[in-house]
Order: sequence, then C-alpha cells, then structure tokens
Amino acid sequence: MRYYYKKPLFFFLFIIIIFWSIFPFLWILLTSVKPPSQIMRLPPIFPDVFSFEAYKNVIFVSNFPKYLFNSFMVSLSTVLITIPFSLLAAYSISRFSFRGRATVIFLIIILFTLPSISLVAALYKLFYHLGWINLPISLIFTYSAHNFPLAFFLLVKYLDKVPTDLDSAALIDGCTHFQTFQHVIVPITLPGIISAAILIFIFCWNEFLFALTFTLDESSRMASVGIALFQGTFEIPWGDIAAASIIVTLPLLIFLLFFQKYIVQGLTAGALKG
Amino acid sequence: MKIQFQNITKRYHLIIAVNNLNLSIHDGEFLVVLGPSGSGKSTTLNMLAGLEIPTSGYLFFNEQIVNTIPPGKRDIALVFQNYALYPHMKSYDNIAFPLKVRKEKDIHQRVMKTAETLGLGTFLEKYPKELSGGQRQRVALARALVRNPSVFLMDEPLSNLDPPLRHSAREELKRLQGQSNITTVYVTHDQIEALTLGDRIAILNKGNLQQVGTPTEIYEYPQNTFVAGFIGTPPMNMMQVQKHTSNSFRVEEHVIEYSTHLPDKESFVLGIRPEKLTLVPATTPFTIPGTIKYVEYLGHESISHVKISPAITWYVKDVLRGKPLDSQVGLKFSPHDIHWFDPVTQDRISSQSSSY
Repeated sequence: MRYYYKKPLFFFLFIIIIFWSIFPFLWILLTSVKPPSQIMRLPPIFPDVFSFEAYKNVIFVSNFPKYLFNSFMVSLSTVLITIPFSLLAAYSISRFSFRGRATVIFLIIILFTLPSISLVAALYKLFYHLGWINLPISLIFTYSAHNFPLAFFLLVKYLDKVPTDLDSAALIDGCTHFQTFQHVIVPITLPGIISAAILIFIFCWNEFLFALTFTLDESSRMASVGIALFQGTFEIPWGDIAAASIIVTLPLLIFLLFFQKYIVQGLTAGALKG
Repeated sequence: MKIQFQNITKRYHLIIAVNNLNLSIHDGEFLVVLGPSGSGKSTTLNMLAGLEIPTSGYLFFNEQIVNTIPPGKRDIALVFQNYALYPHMKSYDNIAFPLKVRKEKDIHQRVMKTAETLGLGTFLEKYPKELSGGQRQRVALARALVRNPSVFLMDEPLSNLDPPLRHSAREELKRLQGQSNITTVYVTHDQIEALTLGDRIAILNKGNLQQVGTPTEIYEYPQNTFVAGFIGTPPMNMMQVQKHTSNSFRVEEHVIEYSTHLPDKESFVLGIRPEKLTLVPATTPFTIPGTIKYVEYLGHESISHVKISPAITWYVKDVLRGKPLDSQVGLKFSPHDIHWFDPVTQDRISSQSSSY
C-alpha cells in the first residue's frame, strides 16, 4: 500500500480506469435489484428497496439455467480438447527442431489472425451438410480450433521459460521423452496450463457470434445468446436481462478469484528460478 | 568404466564444435576438461551424456560403441551447472526420482544413505527454491550419486557457488570421488579447479584438443602457446625473439646473451613463467632489460608489470625495493625455466637442454 502514497498520480489514474471499466457492471448490478417500476426512471435513482424478483424469474421461470448448463458443457469440452492438443504442439515447438517448424508456427499465426466473421458463412454451410446445426458439437468444434492458437502461444511462451536442463536431467535420470513430458514438464507448466484453460473457458463462455449462428432453438442455446434473446410478454424485461447478466458473470469471477495466483503466474511466466 | 573418443567430430550446420577428438579416459580416473567458452567442452560432455550424437567418429564405453544410446541407458549421472533440480519436487523426491523412474528397489534406504553421506538430513523435506546454492548443489550431487553410476559427469558444478563455499565443495568432490572411485569427467573453465581436482587435464580450444596430461605436465611442459598462456595466473610471459648467434638472441634492438645453446631455428617464441623471473639492477649481464610500469600489491605477493618494448609488457612475481616506477631493471632468468615454441605452429620445441 505504501506504493500508492508515493505515487498519487498513478493511484488517481488507476482509480479512474478501474471505475471506467467497472461502471457498466455496477449499473447492471443495480438494475438487477431495482423494483421494475424504478428501472426506467430518469434521472436514475438509487433503489430504495432491493427486489430479487428478477433473479427468481431468471432462475426458476425462464430457460436460463439450461442455457448456463449448455454454455458450461460447451466451454468445458472445448478446454478439454484444446489444452492437450495445444500443450503437445507447444512442447514440440519449444523443445525440438524439425523440418517445417517455422511453417507450422506461421500457419498458426494465420489461424490466430482470422476474424470470426469471415468464417461464419462457410462453417454454417459445412455444419449444415454434416447435420450439426443446433448441436453443441458444432460450437465445440469451432471453439477448439479458434482458441487453439491462443493456448498454443501462451504455452510456448511458458515452456520456453522452463530450462531445457530439466529435460536433460530427466532423460539422464532414465525417462523417455514422454515420461519427461509427463513427470517433469507438465507439473512445472501447470500454472501456464491452468491460466490458458481459464482464458479459453472465458472466451467460450462469452462468445456470441458463432453461438448465435449455429444454435437455432432453445435446446442448445448458450447463455450469451440467451441474454440477448430474452423475451417478455409485453415489454423488454430489463430487470431479468440484468439479473441474467450478473448470473452469467458469477462463475467467471469465482474462477478468477480461485485461480488468481496461477493466472498471474501463467501470464507473466517468470516464476521459475532454480 | 573406460571411455574412449575415437575421431569424434560434432558439427552444427557449418560450425565445428568438436574437431576430430581422440582421448582415452581410464577406469576410475578424474579427468578435467578445461577450456575457454566456446571451446567445445560442453559439447564433449553432452556427447558423453548422450544428449548430443557425434557427427562422426566412435565413442566407446569399455568395448561398446555408445554413439546413439540414449542417456537413460548409459548408466551415467550428470551434475548441471544450475543443478537442474525439479522445482515441483522436494529434495527427497528429487533424489529418489532416478530410482523411481527405473523402478529400482530399496529406494527409501538408498536415498537416506546418500543423504547421510552428503549431510542432507534436514533439507529432504524442502523444495529446491527453499535451499541455498550450496544446499542445492549437494542435492544435485545426491541425485547423481544415489544411482551409483559407472560414469559421473559434471558441468561446472561449482561455478554458481560463492568463493569460500567453492573451496570446501571442491574438497568434498575430490573426497567423494576418491571414496567411490567412479570414472569422472568434469568440465570447467576454471584452471584452479582443474589443477586441484584432476588426475589428468584435457585442454580444449576451438574444438581442438590441445594437450592431455597431469596437472604437473600441463603446467611445466605446456605443449603449445595456447596451453602456456591459458594455465597460470598471471599467464606465462611470451614474446617472439630472433636468433643472433648460437648463444644470444635479439628482442627488438636489444641483444641478450644466453648461457647455453639456443634451439636450432632462426626465430622462436620465448616463454617464461612470472614466478621464474627475478628483478635485478639494470646492468646485470644475461638479463632482459625493461622498465617498471606498475606494481600490483596482492598482500602475500606483488606482481611487477615490466615493459620490455612498446608492445610487450611482462608480469614478474617479484619486486625490487627502492626502485621507483619508470626505472630501468633487468629480468634475470635461468635457461632451465625457458620454454621455446615454434612461431609458426605455436608448438613446443623440445630444446637440447630440456630434460623433457
């Protein structure tokens, strides 16, 4: 804390930026607990009573829990597919030199730069012919490919920081290359793996474009799309939308708090000495 | 285990890291591979360990060619410069790891026995990051020793330690090797380590083997100017001289009388160790004239920097009391202490007077 006293300008800007970023979220949070009559009032007022009607609606009446479940399963499946693939790819790029190594990296960079919107039409056509439209597998497939480059680059960066002497030591201690990977590399890379997994999970959870395009009805709808398509009987149910937005954010917040240490370690990748 | 390098060459694309190395290491020997950075000494060690495969030539362990045998199957252990301890395992698990991977028996007893030899008792439950440099180094040694390997390889294992610790660790290494009598190859750039630890020393430069011999041989009969200049602090004084008559030679414009016969060449490189020179008044016969430029005071000794010509300054482990800087002195030497080298090949010339 002493740091802040010494740098008032830094502290001031820090507060402004944090407030700037968090304000919309606070606004939504307030909206979600306002009684319906106060939501649209101008100028806005601080609610005099907190109403949890909107939360009850979203959780017990609407289909939203099902959307959350869909989102969770799709995101988790994507993570479980992407991480092993990208970890093995990153290990080989980080540790071995082989013909075509530079080409592989270049192709992955291209994959990284492709905008989602340019893929939507082609993928829709493809999934339509495969009969995958409206099935979660279309999203899992798309997300796994789409998030692979990010996980790959994060893990390569992390693995490059792991001294190759550790690989050599394991080989001399009698490990095969795969045992080295299993007993030495993976445990040491765990913070990087966890942070990559969480980032991918968050991206899948928040993804909207593919989710909207490939899922047509409620059976496979994702939470992000569910919020956008929330329908009331006579009017737009702002309170319910706000409550759903809060609910959809909660798992991510819990993740971040729980794995904070790993995420910071994984993204800074400097925690390996000696 | 007896080790033999036969015409071993290691090339990386266009760079030759080790050039046609022929070297035999006896069973139970402590061999130090010494060289400056980039000399190919680490490549040599990695080929022994199986981490690199020689481009050509044969590497023998006893009578078996091991060129492409993977590291885990060679029955060797390697201590790394940065110790390479597994950061996610406690010391105990680090030491036990090679045994566990090989599914060996009596793991616990063997770990405890090795830990006891190295005085590791209380550190076993700690992670590497909780240990000091010296403690990590001992855990790394324990991990290497616990398997009782046939060959023990060390890659500058002491260079990350503080100087006082390095001294005691050196003694400990020597003691351990003496007890276990395991063939040991030790790579270093530190000549003091090489001279104190090695049964024999192999000196490498730019991928070429310069000389192999006992510390005494290396110090007293360097086979070329590289070895002569690399071993010893300060290094051997050398300069190129011309033969004048068979009993005198010329250094620039000075003619210096020499009390015995010179080698049978027109010009040669003369080398003499700083401790073999004494400073005498300028007019003394059979001396090399020079000017005192600077005196380094080191406590137990002093090193005078003596300028012989504009381009040549020699180090002399001697002082002449009462002589101010810039005064003329003579450098007195005994012909027995002179090393002659060929100015073209840089190799040693065995002079007639030399007993070697």
